[in-house]
Amino acid sequence: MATQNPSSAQFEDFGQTNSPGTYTPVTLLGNEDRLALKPLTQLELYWRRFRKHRFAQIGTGFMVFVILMAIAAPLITPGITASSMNLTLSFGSHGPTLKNFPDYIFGTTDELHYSVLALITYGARTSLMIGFLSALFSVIVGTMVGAISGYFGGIVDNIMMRITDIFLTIPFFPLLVSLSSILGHGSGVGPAFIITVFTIFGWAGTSRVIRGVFLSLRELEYTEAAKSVGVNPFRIIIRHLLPNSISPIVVSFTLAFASFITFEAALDFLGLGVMFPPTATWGNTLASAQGDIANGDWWWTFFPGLFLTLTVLAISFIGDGLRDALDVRSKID
Amino acid sequence: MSVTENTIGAAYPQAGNDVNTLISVQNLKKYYPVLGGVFRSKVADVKAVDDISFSINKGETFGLVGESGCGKSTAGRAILRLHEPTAGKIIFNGADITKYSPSQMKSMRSKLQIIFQDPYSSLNPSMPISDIIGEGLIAQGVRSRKERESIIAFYLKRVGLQPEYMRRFPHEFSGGQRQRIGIARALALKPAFVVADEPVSALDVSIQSQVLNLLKELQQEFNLTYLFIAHNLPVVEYISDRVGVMYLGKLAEVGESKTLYNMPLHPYTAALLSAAPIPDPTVRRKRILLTGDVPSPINPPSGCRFHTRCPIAQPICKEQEPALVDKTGTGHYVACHFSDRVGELVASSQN
Repeated sequence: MATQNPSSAQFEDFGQTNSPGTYTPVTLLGNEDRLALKPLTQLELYWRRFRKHRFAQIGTGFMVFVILMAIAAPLITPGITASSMNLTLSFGSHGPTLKNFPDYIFGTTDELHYSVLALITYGARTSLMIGFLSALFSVIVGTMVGAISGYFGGIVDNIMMRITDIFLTIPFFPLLVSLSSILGHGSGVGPAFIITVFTIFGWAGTSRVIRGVFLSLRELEYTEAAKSVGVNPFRIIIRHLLPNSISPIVVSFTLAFASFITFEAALDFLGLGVMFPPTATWGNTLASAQGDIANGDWWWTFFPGLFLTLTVLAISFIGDGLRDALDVRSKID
Repeated sequence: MSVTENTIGAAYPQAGNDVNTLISVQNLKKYYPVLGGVFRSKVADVKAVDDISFSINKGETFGLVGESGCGKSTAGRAILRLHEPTAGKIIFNGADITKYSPSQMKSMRSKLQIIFQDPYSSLNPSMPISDIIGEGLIAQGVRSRKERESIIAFYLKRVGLQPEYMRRFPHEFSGGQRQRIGIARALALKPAFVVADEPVSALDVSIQSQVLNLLKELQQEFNLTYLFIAHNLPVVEYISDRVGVMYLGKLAEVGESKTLYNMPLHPYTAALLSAAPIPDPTVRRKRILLTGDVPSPINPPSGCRFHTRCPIAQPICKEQEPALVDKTGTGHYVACHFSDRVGELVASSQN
């Protein structure tokens, strides 16, 4: 709170609210009790702390840019169409050019001359959506399991954690690859399928973390205080424990978001995920470009790869910033 | 067992008759399992509270003292069933609350309240004061927000804080203010019995007396009965009518505050008292020094638990556990085979 300027109005004087004759040193406050400053709301506090984190700010800026780009994809490019007619270009792919701005600034693919910019902007929609929803669902499931396990403990905890162990020991990526190749029949799988699989196999790590946090929080005196006034367990979890474990939950979410984006890209790259056509993703754009790197068509790989890398990095930075900002115990200065 | 099973009457420390008794604790035990081995099975018990009995009268303050780890806080929590007792009865207003179902217990919660030691960890940092105090009111069925806020404002004012503070968060308050908030939270439910678990030990000395006096005033005003847990002897003497001294999960001595402080009958009490500082630098005295550490409550010593450190222990202390009895017939209970020799011990340390 050192960054605030105490003004005289913020020191409330008891002399004004109590007549001097009623002064009793016991019930009125000494100097120690006069130091409370004008309160900031929780949100203001979070924002102040988040702003201290330079990389988180840059990451937020980049993510806002990517998300706007994904939303505005139809405004930026005419869509993923075979648009070679518009250009008098020779056969094959073309490097970045300002012709037909901005459609070809990242170059085109070969043969059908898809705009790489269009693949990236439309691809961002699918890649971000899969990453975001998988992370969201897996963190929700993981938090619920971890919360119940950690709060109630005992036999409930034992059973739930053994189930969690089973999910943790399943080799996630090979399983995903085999599932996709069996169920996709060689023509890939839809985003809904990928989100479901990511959720089913992604919650266990989060639930471990949240269980640990809950185990420590439930021993704190404010949890005991809530019990002592008759608050029911469900409400204790919602009102006391969850708000105070928001920081590990957010960190889990950002870690999951970033890693699910890369997992999804890897799956697409192997030709077992979402297929293009019809649906472009960063992963399948990279996959279709792999044969042409040898020809010197660097732009086709470079730009989607750049967006993938920067997005994952940006999400991690935001996670770092949020962890510091949401930690109620951390000081502003 | 030091105390017989059927303990109605004077077989356990009691002041006055049963009509005045608000809460009576009978043969209370709280063991924590020690898990070990491959299968995490129970290998031993930590006997945090091992068979203690006492009763507290309406409007009385019963002090519970002892060094860290002797089980006094555990006893306080077990009495409120915040930690489920392993065995024993807690009779509150004539009803055995250890038999209450969770829903019965929930409505009972408003009558039995607790003030915590640590004013920092006892307030949820993410909730405004109005929610911290109001939560119990919601749980106890005060549905209207307006009504809740007027109750909160009343008690905030009563503990010496401005009602407008209810919009603020705990981190905006000092330790003393936070402890007042904790007191307001307990009082808002109109309790009859309050366990004050070291309510001033985390505060600055200058604030301690303010909070102690506040507690005394509130006791008068709201007809409260306190179980006051502390390790600070002068504080307990100041606030308590009767005092119980605990050692390693057992009561060593129970008596009127004045008699117990002036004429301890248990060597442990005598040693504790001789260790308490006297606010007069010219007074010199010899302390009764105890050797060694407190033994482990997992495997307490046989016979009298204090015999390993007792300056006047005899062979019998190792074999036979002394019962907590009223040797003088004045309501001053002591669990020591040689309580008549404690006077000499005290005298030898005072010159």
